[in-house]
Amino acid sequence: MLKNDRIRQQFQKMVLSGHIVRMMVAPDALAAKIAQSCGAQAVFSAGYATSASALAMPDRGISDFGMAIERCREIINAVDIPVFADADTGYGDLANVKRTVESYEAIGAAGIFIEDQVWPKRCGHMDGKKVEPTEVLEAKIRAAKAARQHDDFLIMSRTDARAVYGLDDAIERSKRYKAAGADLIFIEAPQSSAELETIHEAFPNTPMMANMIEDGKTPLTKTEDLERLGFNIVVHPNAMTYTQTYAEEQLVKTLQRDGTTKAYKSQMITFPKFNEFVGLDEVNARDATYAPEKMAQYLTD
Amino acid sequence: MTLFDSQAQATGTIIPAAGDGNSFKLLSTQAFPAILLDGTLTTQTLLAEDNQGLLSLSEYAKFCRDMSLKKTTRLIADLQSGFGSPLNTYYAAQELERSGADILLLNDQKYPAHSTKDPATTTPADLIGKLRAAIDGLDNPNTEVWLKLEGITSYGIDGLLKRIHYASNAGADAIVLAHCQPEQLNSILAQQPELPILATYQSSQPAIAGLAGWLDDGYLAMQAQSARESALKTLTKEVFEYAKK
Repeated sequence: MLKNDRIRQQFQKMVLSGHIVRMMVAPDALAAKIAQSCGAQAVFSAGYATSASALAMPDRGISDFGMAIERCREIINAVDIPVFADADTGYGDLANVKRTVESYEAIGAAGIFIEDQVWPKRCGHMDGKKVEPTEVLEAKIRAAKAARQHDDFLIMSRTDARAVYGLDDAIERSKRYKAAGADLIFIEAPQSSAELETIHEAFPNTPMMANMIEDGKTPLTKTEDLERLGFNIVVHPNAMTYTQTYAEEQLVKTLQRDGTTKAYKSQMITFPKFNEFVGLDEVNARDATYAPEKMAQYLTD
Repeated sequence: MTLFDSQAQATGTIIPAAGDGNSFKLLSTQAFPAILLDGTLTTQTLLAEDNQGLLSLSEYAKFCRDMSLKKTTRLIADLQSGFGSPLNTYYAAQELERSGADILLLNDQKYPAHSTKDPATTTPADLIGKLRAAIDGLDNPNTEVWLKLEGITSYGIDGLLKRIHYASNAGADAIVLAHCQPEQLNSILAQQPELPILATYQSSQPAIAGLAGWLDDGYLAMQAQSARESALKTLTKEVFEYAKK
């Protein structure tokens, strides 16, 4: 079975397994490979981390489709586990949604979510969000479903209406997005454990995602508690970005202070271990496979 | 099933080339068995240069992905000379396949490849290393690797026949002969090579018995360029006349 087909099937099976799927957002391919090496079942490619790593800017709708898909593609190519993608608002109107779906499916993503914010959007846990009328994302979900080549390329609706119109409106919108064809539901930024429970009660039979942002609007909840609440996916969108930022800041401060990185070396992976991690031995072996003397077997009369 | 399995009865097929979105879209409306996304033509589109060796794999692959969303037939991607060593060829083949290629066209030039009639070619061992690497890099068993042999002026018909034989040993799916005259093609085909043989297309070529097809490398682009030059003459003439008014 080809990789793209295998990955989509694997992810759908995981989401419907009855056990929650925990995903880190990987800011880049290296982070995704780290997640995979530590046993992650799947990873996420999302806007906050891409804006940060590609532009060193906030998630405010400045990074675009081209950046998002290229970053997601790099991540997909670096790992052998499913990668789910944040497709923001679909990057325009229905024609853009069609291109977005076709493109993400072609690069081998397991699925995408599309949200109902007004572009330029904001991170779901930032203040000042605006949402489109419900009809806009309903139409985008229908367009997305029509554009996908495979039914197991999962389309998730995301509503940001909780912060704008309250939880009831967010639930009502999500019911309409589900009716329009969304395979998965994501209500962004609920503000308490009781709200997480209310969301589950509103969608007892629909796969749902929870988003755990450090210092965000939603209380940080353990994976097993979210599983008990009926969530099928939990995503940790910023932890790797924040960790990377913190570690690099400490490193640079050390260097500025000491004139050497020695005092920080115990916090680093070593040269041989890093080369091993990124597969230097495999690449060298691959290189040697095609050495001229090894091709003699084909250069016969 | 390879393209030539599915085209068993069809000989002399023309496979056109494109290097820009409009040509690709236009060609996709016709029933061609495949379309070549030619490296030189793509370089002209993306870089305004004629030398394919200036185009990096990542630049070309991005364009390949965009065109693959529009394809209605097999897409032949130009693997050039593998974008480096056999190791680079392995990763380049992987990248072009996942960018939508159904067939990869590897040439036997030295890296970097050039858009010239008499390019420097690499050794048989390096070429076969690249061919094996390209095959090993693929995920889909239906993806084909064709070899484009460009050095008839340097290694002659005998050398060319040897390369075809080695390519067959190493698992190539077809051979494209470049820069060959009709009498040279007839001599080569008379030796009944083990693989399907195509030749680069030139308009008004005589029919060649046994040739599986012609691979275009820019007929449409050349005609479009003539039309653009003619339109430019009209435009500059009108600008001149407007200035006089």
